[in-house]
Amino acid sequence: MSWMNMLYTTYENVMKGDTDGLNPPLLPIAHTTQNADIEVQIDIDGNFIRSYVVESDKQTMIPCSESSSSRSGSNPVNHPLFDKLQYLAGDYSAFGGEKGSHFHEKYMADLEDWCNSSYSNEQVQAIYNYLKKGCLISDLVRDGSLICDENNRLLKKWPGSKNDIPKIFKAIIGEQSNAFIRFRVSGGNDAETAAWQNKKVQDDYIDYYLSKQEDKGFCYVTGEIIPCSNNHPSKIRNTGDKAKLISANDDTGFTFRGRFINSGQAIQIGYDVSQKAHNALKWLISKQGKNFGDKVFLLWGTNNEKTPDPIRDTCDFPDFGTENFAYTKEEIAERFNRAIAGYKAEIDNKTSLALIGLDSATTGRLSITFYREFHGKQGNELIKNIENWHNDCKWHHRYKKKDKNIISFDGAPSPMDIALVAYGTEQNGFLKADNKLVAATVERILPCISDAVRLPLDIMRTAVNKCFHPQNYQDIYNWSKVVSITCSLVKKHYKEQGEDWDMELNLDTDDINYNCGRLLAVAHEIERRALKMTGDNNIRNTNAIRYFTKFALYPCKTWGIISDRLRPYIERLGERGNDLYKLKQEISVKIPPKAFEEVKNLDGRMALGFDSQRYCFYNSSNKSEKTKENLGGNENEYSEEQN
Amino acid sequence: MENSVTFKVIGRYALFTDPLTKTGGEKCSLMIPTYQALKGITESVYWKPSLIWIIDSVRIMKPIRTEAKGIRPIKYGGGNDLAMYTYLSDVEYHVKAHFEFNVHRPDLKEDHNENKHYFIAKRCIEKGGRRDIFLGVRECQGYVIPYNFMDGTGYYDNMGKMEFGLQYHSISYPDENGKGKMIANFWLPKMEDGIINFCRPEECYKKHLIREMKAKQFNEVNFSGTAEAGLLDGYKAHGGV
Repeated sequence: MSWMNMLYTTYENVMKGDTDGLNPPLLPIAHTTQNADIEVQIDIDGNFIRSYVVESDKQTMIPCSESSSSRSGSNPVNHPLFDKLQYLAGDYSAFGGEKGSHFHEKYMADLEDWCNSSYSNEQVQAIYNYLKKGCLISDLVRDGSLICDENNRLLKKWPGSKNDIPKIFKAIIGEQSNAFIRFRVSGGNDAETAAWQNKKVQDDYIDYYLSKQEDKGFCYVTGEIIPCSNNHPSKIRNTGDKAKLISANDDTGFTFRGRFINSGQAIQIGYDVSQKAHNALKWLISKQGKNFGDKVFLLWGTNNEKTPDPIRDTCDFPDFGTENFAYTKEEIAERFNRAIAGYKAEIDNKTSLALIGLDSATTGRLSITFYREFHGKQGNELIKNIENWHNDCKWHHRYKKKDKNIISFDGAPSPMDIALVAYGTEQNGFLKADNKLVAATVERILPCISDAVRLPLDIMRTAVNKCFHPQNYQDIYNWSKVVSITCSLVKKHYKEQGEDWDMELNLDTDDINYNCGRLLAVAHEIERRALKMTGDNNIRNTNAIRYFTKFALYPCKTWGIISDRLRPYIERLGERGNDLYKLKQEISVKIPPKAFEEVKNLDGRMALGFDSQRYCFYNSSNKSEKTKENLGGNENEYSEEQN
Repeated sequence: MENSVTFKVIGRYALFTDPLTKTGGEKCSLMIPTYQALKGITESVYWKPSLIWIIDSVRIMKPIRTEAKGIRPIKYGGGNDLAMYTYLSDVEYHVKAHFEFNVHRPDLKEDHNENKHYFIAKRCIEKGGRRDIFLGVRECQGYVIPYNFMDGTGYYDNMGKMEFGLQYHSISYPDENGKGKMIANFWLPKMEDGIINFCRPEECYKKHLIREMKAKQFNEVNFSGTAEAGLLDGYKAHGGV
C-alpha cells in the first residue's frame, strides 16, 4: 500500500472506534484548529446574551473550506462559521476597522448559502440571524469584552498602566480588531451549547461542504471517481509548519510538465482521502512521532496498535507512564522484555505497520525520506529486529539521568546518543553535535534497527577513535559514556562478523586487542587504588588514561612508559595490591611477547577488554563496599569518579 | 519460434517516482518497479517500431530499502532548487518479457519476422543493451545481464504474499493503443515469493484518461524505410540485391 493509503486506512479505523477520549484529538475532515480570543453566547433566536474573553482552553475546532484552510495575507478567504471580527462583524468599519467591509459581505453570503441548504442547523441559523443584525462589535464593547477610545474606535494598544490591563489585551496577539470569535448557542433542542464542540454542527458542515463539490476526478489513491482536491494541508509536523507533502506550484519549469501539461494530469487526489490521510498523519506525529530538528520519524499501525519506539535506548524503551519505578538494572531488563512481549501480542495476520521519516530541504515542501511497511508476520519480524538490536548492542551503561540520579542499565544506547558519541564534542560539560548531523546519523542507524542491516562501519570507527582520546573530555563522565556506547557498537559490529563478545569478562580469549585493553585497565586500577589510599578524593587522571591514545597506537612501547610510572604506586600499595599484580601477570602471559612488540593500532576490541575489566573491578569493589556498608558504611567510589 | 527473453538488471539506486510526490518535486520511489519502467529498460536493450514489448513478470531479488539524498535540481528558468529524493538502494530485478508486433503500424508488416527480432534481442541482452539503461530516472544507471528468471536466491523467496494497494502500472500512448489517447493504467500488484506477475496494460484494473493525443503519422514525406536515397549504396556495391 502507498503511504497515503496506509494513513487513510488508519484514519478510517480510528474513527470507527470511540474518538472522544483521544488526546490529541483526531480532526474530522473539513475542520482545522485555531485559537479563539472571545466567546459570544447568544440564544436560539439570535439575541446577544453575554461574552467572555477566552483565557484558557483557547484551541477551537473550526469548520474550514479547502481554500480557507490555506488562506494567507495575500489571499484572504473567510472560514465558514467562526472567524475574526473583520469577517463576522457588520459594524467592523464603524469601529475603525481598516480592512474594509467586503470580507463581511462574502462571509454572510456563504453562511446564508449554508443556512438555505438542506444541511442547515438551528445553531448555525441562530448565529446567522444574530450576525445579520450587524452589531457584534458594539455588543462586545457594551459587554466590556472589547475596549474603545473616546472616538468610539477600538483601541490598538492599551494606553494605561500594566496593572489594570483589560483581559482582552492579555489574551490577544496583535490588535483587538484581529480577535477571533467563537459562539455558544443556548435555548435550542441541543444540550451542547458550544457550537464548536457540537457534533451535529460538524457533521452538517461536512455534508454541506461535500455536497458543494462538483469537480470530480480520478483519485490516484483509491481509484474512485470522487471530488478531488488541489490544495493539500500543511502544518504536518507542528502548527507552525508551512511545508506540504503534496504540492504543485511549478507551472513554468519541468518538475512534472513534459508529457503532462498541468498538475491535474500528473496527479489527482480525492478531497476526502487527502484530508483524512493528512489529519491522521498530523495526529500520529503529535502522538508518537519523534522529532530531530526538521526530521520526524514515526512508526504506526493502521489499527492504532501500540507500537514500540524504535529509536529509544533500552532504558526508555518500555512506556513507563507515570507509575513508580525503581530503575534498577534488573527491573529495566524485565520491563523491556515485558514490553516486547506486549508489542508482539498486538500483532496478528491483519496488522499493518509502517515506518516513515519526513524531512524538508526547503520551508515549503516536505519529503518522505524513509518508508517501510510491515504487513502481518513482517510486523513480528520488525519487533524481533528491534529486540535483536537491543540484545546485540547490550553493554553496561551508566549515563542516563532521571530525577538527578544516574541510572545504570544493560542494553542498547539510543541512535541519538550514538550520533552524539561519534560526532559530538564536549561543550560546557555536555556532548553536543550539529542537529542536522545527528538527524542524518539517526536515519542511517534506523535501518540497522528496523531491518537488521549492518551497522555503518564509519560510525563504529569514528566512535572507537573518540573513545581512544580521553584527553578530549574534561568530564570523565562524558568519556565513560563514550566508552560504553563505543563498546555497544563494537560488540554489534563483531557480532555481524560472527565473533561473539559478551559483556562479561572473557578470560579465555587470545585476542591481543582485548587483552591489551585488560592490561591497561589493570594499570589504571593499581594507580587508582593507590591514589584512593592517600585519602585524596579528587582523583586525577591516571597514567593509563593519559597514555590511552598512545597505548592504542603503540602498545608495546607505551606499556614500558606506563610500567615505569606505575612503580611508585605499586610501592605505595604494597601487599594490598596482590590480586592486581597477579592479574597483571596472568594477562601478560596471554600476550605473546613477539606479537606484543609488533602490534600497532589496536582496534575496537581493546575498548571491550578495557571496559569489561574495569567494570569487573567496579563490581567486585562495589560488593565489598556493600559488605563494608553493612559494618560501618562507606560511599561508593566508582560513582564518585563517574560523577 | 520464440519471442520471450529473460535478463537481470542491477543498479545501486532506483527511483520509480510515486505520482503523489511527482508534482511537488520531492520525489519518492514506489517500493516496486512499475511496468512502464521495466518496459523502458527492455526497449533500451532493443526496440523497433514494429514491435511492442510486454513485461510478463519481475522477480525482486534484494530487500526493498530506501535511501534519501539531498539533491540540487537546476531550475528551468535559471538558478537552482533544493530537494530530497528518496531512492531504492541496491536493487536487482529479474525480468521476463516478450515482444508482440504492433498492429497499429500496418506499414511495417514486412518487418514481422519473429526469429530475426528474437535473436537480435538475445544478442543485445548479451551486450548489455543498445542504449543507456536506467532504473526509473536518468541518474540511476542500471546494467543488464543475461540471466534465467528463476536462477539465484532472492530475499523474498519464501516470504509469501505481499500487497501494495492501488498503484500506477503504465501509460499507454496512442501509437500502441490506437485510440488517439494517452491513458494512465492502474492495478493492484501482488508479490508472491518475490515474484510479481504483471497484467497487460489493456487488462488493468483502473484506467484514467490523461488527455487526447495523436499518434505521429509516418508517410512518404517523413519516412522512407530502406528506400532512403543512398542508404543501400555500399551494400549494392558489394554485390547485394
